[in-house]
Amino acid sequence: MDLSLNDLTFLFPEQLFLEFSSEDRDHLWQQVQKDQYSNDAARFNAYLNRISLNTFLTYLATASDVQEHPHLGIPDTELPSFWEMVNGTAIYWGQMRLILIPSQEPNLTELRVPREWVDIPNWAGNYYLAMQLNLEECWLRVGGYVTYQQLRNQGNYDRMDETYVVDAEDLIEGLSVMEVVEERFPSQKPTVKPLPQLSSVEAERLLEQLGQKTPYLPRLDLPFTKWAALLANPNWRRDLYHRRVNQSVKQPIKLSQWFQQIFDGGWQTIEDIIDTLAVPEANLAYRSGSRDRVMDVSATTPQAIPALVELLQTNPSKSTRLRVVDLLGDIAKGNPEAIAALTNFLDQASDQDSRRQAAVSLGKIDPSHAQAGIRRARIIDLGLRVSGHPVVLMVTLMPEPNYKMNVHLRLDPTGQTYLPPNLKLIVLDEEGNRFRQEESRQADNRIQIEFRCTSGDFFRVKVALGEASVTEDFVV
Amino acid sequence: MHDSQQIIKRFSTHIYLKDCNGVARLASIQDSNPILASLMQVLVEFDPEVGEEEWARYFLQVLRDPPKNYQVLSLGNRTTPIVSTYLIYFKILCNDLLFYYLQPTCLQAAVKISKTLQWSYNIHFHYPLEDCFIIASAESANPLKLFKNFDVNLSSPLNAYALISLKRIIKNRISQEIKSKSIKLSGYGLLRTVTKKELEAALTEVAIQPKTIELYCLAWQAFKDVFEAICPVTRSNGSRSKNPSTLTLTSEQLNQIAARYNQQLQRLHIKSKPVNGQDIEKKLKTCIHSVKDYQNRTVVSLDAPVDSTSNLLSHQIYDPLEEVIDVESEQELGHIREIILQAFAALDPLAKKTLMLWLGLGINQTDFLSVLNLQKQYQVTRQFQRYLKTILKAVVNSAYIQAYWRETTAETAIHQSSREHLAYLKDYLIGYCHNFFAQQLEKIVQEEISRDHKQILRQYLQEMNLRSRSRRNARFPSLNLQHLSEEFTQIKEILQNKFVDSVESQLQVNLVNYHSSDSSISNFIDKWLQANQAILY
Repeated sequence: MDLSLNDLTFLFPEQLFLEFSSEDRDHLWQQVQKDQYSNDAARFNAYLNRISLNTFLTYLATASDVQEHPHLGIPDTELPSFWEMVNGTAIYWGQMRLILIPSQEPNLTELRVPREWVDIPNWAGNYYLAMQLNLEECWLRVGGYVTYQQLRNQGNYDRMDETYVVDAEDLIEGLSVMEVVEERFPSQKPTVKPLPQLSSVEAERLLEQLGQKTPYLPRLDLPFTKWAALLANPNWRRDLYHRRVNQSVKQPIKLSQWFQQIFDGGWQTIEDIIDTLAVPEANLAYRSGSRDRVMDVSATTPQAIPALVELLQTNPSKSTRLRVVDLLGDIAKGNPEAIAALTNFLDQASDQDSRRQAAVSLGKIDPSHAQAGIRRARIIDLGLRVSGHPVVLMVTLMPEPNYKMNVHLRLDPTGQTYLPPNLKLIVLDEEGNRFRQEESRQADNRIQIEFRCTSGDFFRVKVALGEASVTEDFVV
Repeated sequence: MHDSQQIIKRFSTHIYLKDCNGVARLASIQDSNPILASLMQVLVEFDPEVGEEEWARYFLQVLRDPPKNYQVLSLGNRTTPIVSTYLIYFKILCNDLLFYYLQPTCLQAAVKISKTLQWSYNIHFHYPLEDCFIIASAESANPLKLFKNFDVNLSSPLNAYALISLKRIIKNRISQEIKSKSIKLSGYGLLRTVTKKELEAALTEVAIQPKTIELYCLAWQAFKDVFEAICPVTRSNGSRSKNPSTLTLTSEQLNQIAARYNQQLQRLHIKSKPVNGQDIEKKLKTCIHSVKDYQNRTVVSLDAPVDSTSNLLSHQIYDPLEEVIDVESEQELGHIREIILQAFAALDPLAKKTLMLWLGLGINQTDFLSVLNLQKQYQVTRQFQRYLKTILKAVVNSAYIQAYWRETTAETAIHQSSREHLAYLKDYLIGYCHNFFAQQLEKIVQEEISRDHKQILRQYLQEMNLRSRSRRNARFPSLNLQHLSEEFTQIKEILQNKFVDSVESQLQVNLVNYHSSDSSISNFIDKWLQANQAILY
């Protein structure tokens, strides 16, 4: 059994449960994709905070007794510079400053407040709210709150991740008590011990150090007092944010590194994409058999390779030969006979589809081969505009003579047969000029673009539907 | 002067629940611990002026700050040779005394949660009253932890604080266990979703030393730090580029985690050798196995209760659903009750009506959707929260509370006491609403049920009670239960129809619109009859 939202409200009648629509969720996802973050951890952190913030603000604006509307106290555009560094969002509600701390763990066992929200004088709040998100079922649970004083006096300080921790049992459930007490005793600004001053020289040194790209939030890379002193200054905080995101945002994906098996996050094999999405592979796969069957063949019949090679050389059917090419890529790793057969097929095949598939299979069984190709794909989520189903962008690289590279881009649907109409696949150059574009019609099951480029060329791929779009930058 | 026997009993009696088949209810059996009873006997003789609450606070104080010199033991600085026998064990005994003292509170918390759960059949089926009580008792075995944030300077009783905490603990434990069992995560997927509190508890369970636990937690933290880079979220619903449960970390990724771990070792000045990718993998695997074992453990079970044949004091069977809820701390709450009732009376008619039905008869919240013009059950919950907040506001604005607050400057104390007021007012309103309906039922039974019918009701209830005992003693004869049961059902139906008419006319509602009202009222009548057999004479 699992706990439904109803079960939870029965179990915790004093707590607050808020729902958000999947449309809102998808819209916020898009918004976070457009904002700049230096890494996936910061982006996901921003996403959790953004959903919590919007859902909670909507609730407060419509359902609370407090007359004044809640507000951020800073421009919305400042928020990414917080979420790049730390979990949590501050809002003002009446005289109260609330710190919202979202989490996505299935169990709300504790409230873990980053120390920044407690020990940086301008960041500290009056109340700290534990927010548990269920992204799949689209609800937010406000598990309870603690006051600043409680957090300082009764919270456990965890030096390992620089947080103050309160057990879920010690939170005050719901917001009724907070609202009622606040009415009688309006909050005062908490008195927080001042932080040591940083010289501008030291600040510059730290900004330089922390401005380097890391796969995680930078908050634990310095002793806390220095980190806090740096963050407490809004100019330094903004400076650090810009250094971190500018460094990473301008880094296009280096396609040459794909041949060294180095891939940026999110670029996966077709098989991994199928596993991730748990959808039938028919639309995505270049192969025509199921993966399980291919695995069976590889496990039981390495001796099948000569037969497959012979089939490749003699069978007149294009679809059969494509299937053989695909199978050899899966089962013939390092096999000279298969390598030779695929090389030969690649040289002799007249159609580009067959050549491309042969190059990719060759890349699988002999990655260092001069004609080895490679294929990777990424899930592109345009939200509900595509009926909630993401599309998949595949990039296939096939070396050509004279140091040229054949680039093939393909957009495939998932979970449905056809792409939505008017979905655009656009290729732009370094100046942003559009040089290729394809657009899906009423019943297109894929759209694709093929072009050649040379080493060092830059191009940008944009997938767009209406106002929603996702872009990826590449350098060959 | 306090009732010394009552105090001795409170600190030396523990409860266990026994299933009484045939009457579909539990009996709570009380066992006495002779060692604790004799200790309390000595203590109350020393200082008869000290009440239960003061003793409990004193034992907590000893646990928090054990006397350096055990010669100073009694509250009045008096010592005796008998007490000195226990000196060496005094801290342990204080722990036990508090555990025993909290037994009725554990039962009270379990009963309250169990009542809440009855509306969610799934959960109630998996977590009956016994399990709720076991969870609460296990937690109260460590009073120091339970009361870690209790402010001894607050005037609110220890019991009230414990009741709120224990209720929360039971609910959290249930929801955590259900979640853990329902989410089939393994491998790194499991590690990604676990909280540090769970991880530490899991590692402690497999007897890893505290110092070493820190290193495992650091490995886990390093893993979490780089996890988003390894397996980023790719969709708005939180799904990732790879399935974390089947994810295998490459040596490059493990080395990346190890580098982060080593970096943090330095920052934290932890004296431990730097690790490589293989070491990290081992540490993470240990974490995974520990968490898996921890989540698969069965519901906590207490040590076997005291030998019930030698130490059994009482075989008294009572209905915990009624009796325990009526236990109330002896405080001056009269005027607060008055304020609660005034504020309740001042609510708009719809608010009053719905709260009466919800709190008094236990009608399911989803049944209020149409009358409150709402779409979701959680919105009904929120609406009820708003009604209760209005009453809470009246309570905290009262002169009595304001006077108390003027004496305390601690913000935390104000929030804590308001939390307790909210819990109290809800309980009080439950009792008030329950009583409102009970009075109507009593009037109907007395005025509209014939003497013969009353006799049948009485016979049936007596027979059921006898059967519950004969299960244990196997010596009571049985009557023709089937025939009696049929007659009972018919009379109860008449009673229920009259009661429904009465409620509908009093509250101006149509109960047919409340789908759960039939079963709620049936339960209400059953419990009322069980507790009020004397009225049937």
